[in-house]
Amino acid sequence: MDPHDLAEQTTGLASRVNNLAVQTTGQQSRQLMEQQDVLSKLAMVAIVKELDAGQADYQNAVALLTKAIDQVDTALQKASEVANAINLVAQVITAVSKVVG
Amino acid sequence: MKSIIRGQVWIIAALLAFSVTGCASIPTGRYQTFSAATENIQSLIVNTDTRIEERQREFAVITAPNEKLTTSTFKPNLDGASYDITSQLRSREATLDVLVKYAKVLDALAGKDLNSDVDKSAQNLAASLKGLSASSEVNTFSKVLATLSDSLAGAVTESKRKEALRSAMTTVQPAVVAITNLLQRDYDKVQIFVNLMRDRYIAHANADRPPFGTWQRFKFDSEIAAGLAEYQQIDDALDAASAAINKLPEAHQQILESLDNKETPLNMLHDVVDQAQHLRSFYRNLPSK
Repeated sequence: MDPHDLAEQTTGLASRVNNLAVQTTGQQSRQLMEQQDVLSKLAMVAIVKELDAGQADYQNAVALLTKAIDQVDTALQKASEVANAINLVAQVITAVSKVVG
Repeated sequence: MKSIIRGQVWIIAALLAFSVTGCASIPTGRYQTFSAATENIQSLIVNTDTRIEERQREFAVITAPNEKLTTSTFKPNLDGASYDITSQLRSREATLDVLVKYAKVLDALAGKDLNSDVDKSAQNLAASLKGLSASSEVNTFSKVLATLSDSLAGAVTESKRKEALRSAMTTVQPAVVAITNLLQRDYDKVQIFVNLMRDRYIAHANADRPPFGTWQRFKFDSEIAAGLAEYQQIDDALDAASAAINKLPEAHQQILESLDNKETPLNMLHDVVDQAQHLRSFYRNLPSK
């Protein structure tokens, strides 16, 4: 696993969450907007920090990121999946925060 | 950081080699232009880094949580984890400064007013290395170089310049490649960082955009357009600097080869010089906001 994977995947997820926020309205849109702010900052922390890609927490976070990216892609096609996407992104935020914190 | 140290160990070794023999007829102009080109690249990068720091401050304000103001409200961190890129930018500037100072040593060595110029430029290179980092490895390395630079300046005589240049540049060539690769990799990261800030800038602007057809909308959009133009300038500047930096190793190699073969093509040096001249007036040449 590459030390830049976390930053790149978090950036990728932030971008998708942005698309989902634009596509949704109301409370869900606001939640996604807040999540996107946090994801962007987490990606920026990951860029400026030297991270150890060999750590279990790192690998767990990258695995969750991959899952969340897929889920957000699904939610972009199917509105009923937005709530699941928000939940998974929240889990990602916790996992990535643990790595970069 | 190890790559920087390893690269500069090569520079030390090359500087030591300045005391060997050689003869006349050195094409001084290409050393001057190479040195000027590295300075232009450095100037653009420092200017761009300043703009990135300003954007980072703005980003912290835009994305600040809806809470009471405190002294740390707008600090670039998330729950204590810093995303402040300033130290990374400074580190890259310091790395590039080593190349700039090295090019000046070459220029001085190729020039006619030899001893005082070489001494001065070697001292500047030593000083530049001192500015790299506070780590013990780099400090030790800097002390060694400073000592070597002193002895180098005393050892060089006019008749030895050509061989000294050949020897130094041959030894340093891998370091030039290593340092430019390092700068290139880091600037890719900086570009991603800047794009993240830009995307949040757009998202927050969209969230609060006044209704279409109103004066407020016009004023608001004008401000956002100016902000986006600045982001575009930063992005273009990073691309332009990166393209120029990428050509430095080949330009360096061509200058080296041309010491012994006057037919050596200098197209990479010419490319670097062309790009560097463009970089010198990069922000001035772009349309104003």
